[in-house]
Amino acid sequence: MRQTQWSDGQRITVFVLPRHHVLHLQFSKERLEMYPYQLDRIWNKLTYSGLGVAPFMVTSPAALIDAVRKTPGAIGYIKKLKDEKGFYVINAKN
Amino acid sequence: MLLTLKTKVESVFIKKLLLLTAVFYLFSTVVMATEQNFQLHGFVSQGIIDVNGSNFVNDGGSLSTELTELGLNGSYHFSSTLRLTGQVVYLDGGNRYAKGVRIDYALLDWSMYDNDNWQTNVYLGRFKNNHWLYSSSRDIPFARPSIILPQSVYFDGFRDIAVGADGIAVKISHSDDLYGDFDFNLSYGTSAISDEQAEIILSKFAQGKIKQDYDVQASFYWRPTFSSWRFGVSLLDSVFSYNTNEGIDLFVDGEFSFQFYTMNALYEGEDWEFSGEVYQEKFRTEGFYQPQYDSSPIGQGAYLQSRYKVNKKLTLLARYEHFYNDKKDKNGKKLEEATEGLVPAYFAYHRDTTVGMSYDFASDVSLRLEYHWFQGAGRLTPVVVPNPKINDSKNWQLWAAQLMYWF
Repeated sequence: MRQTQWSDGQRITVFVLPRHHVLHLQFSKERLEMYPYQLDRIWNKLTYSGLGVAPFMVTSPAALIDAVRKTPGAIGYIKKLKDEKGFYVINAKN
Repeated sequence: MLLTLKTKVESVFIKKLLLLTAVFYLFSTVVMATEQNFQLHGFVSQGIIDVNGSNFVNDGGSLSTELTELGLNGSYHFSSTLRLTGQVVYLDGGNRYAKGVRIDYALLDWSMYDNDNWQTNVYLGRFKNNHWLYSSSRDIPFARPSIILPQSVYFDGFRDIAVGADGIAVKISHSDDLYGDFDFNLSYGTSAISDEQAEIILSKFAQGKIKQDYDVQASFYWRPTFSSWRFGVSLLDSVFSYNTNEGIDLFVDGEFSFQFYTMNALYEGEDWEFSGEVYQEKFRTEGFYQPQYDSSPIGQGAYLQSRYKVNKKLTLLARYEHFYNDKKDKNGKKLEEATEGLVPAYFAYHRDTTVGMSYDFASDVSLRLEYHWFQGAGRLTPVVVPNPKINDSKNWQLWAAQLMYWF
C-alpha cells in the first residue's frame, strides 16, 4: 500500500472515489482492512506536511476509469469494467 | 461458533457481491501525466476564541477572532524519485505564537529506495516535525484532533521551534504481512528564532539574542499487521544559547538544553478512537539568570484522548491532560518558596480537561467546538520569566469554535 513506484521505476499514480462512496468504503474495509477516515488522515498528513503525495480523488467510477486510462502508471478500483482493452485487470474476487 | 460461522457466511456473501477490479493502464499520454506531476492544495479556517482567567490568547480576556489559519501548498515531481514541495501558512493565534506569514515547509523529497516492502525517503530543506503523534499536522485545522492541542506536548509557545527545522530528515518504512508496518524517522537541523518568538519564550526583559544550536530527533512507529493499534516512541535533544545584549540586559549569557522523550499509542476503531502520549522532559538552564546558575528540572506528563463517531458527520471528543515542570515539585511549593512568593505554586503544573465536537458539513467543510477547563499556568507564556501579574488565576477556562475548508 505504501509503495510509490512500479518495479520498472515508474511512479504510481493512485485514483480513488470520494470517501462516502460505497465502493470506496468497500475497498477500504475489505481490501485494505482500514476505515476510510484512517485513509483520510494518512493522506491529509502526506498532503499538508510535505511528506508525500495523496491519491487523486475523482467523482465517479466513470471518471476513475477515464483518469486511469489517460495516466501512465495509474491504478484504481472499480466494480465492473465493460471494456478491458488497454488495462491490466486484477479481479479481486473473494 | 455459530456467531463466527454466521459472520463468515455473511462476509463471504457480501464479498461475492463485490467484484473489485484493480486497473492499470500500460500506455502513456503526456497531457494527463503533466497534470499529475503538479498538485496544489490549501486550507482556510477562521474561529472565535474566548479565554477567561489567563493571557493564553490576549491580555484583556475579551472574545477574540485571533484564530486564523490559512495555508497553500504545492508539490511538483521532477521524476519518479525527486519531488519539490512547499507550504506557506498565515497564522494568527494572539499571544499563542507570533502572528504572520511563514514558510511552513520547503523541501526536496528524494525517494532513495522503493519496493514492495521497503521505502526510504530523504527530505532536504525545511521539513516538519514528524516525530510526535500530531506534530506534523498541528497547524492543519482538520487534520488535528482539536482546535487547541494538549499544550504540554504541543506547546504553542514553542510552536515555531518545535514545528520543524532547516536541515535533513530521513524516513525509512517497512511493511510485511507477518509483522506489520514500521516507520523510522531521523532528523537533524535548526530553527531560526524570531524576536517575537524570543519574547514569547523568555520575556520582553531579555534584550539579548537566543539561537538554536541544533535539534536532533528520532522516532519509531509500529502498527501490527491489520491491527487497529499503532505504537510509537520519540527522542529529542536540542541546545539553545543566549548571548546577552551588551548595551542593557537584565540577564547574562546562558545555555538551555532540552531533552524530550515520548511514548504514544493510538487505537482507531470503526466508532471509537483512543490515543495518548506519555512524556518526560529535561530542561537544563546554565547561566542566564546569573553566571553560576544551573538547574535541570525533569518534567513529566501524559494525556489520554477519546473520540467517538456518532455518525458520518458528528464526532465527539474528550481528553484529560496532566503535566508538571519538575517531578520533585509537582504542586509548585518549592517554586513559590524559591521565588519568595513572586511566582505562585500553580506555575509549576498544567492540567486540562477538554470536551469538544466536530461536525462535517461536507467532505471538505467542518466545524469544531470545544471547551477547556485548565488548572495551573505551567504552559502559559512567557516561559522562562513568568508573568503572575496577568496570570493571576490558578483555574482558567477556554472555549472556541472554528470553521474550516480545505482543498
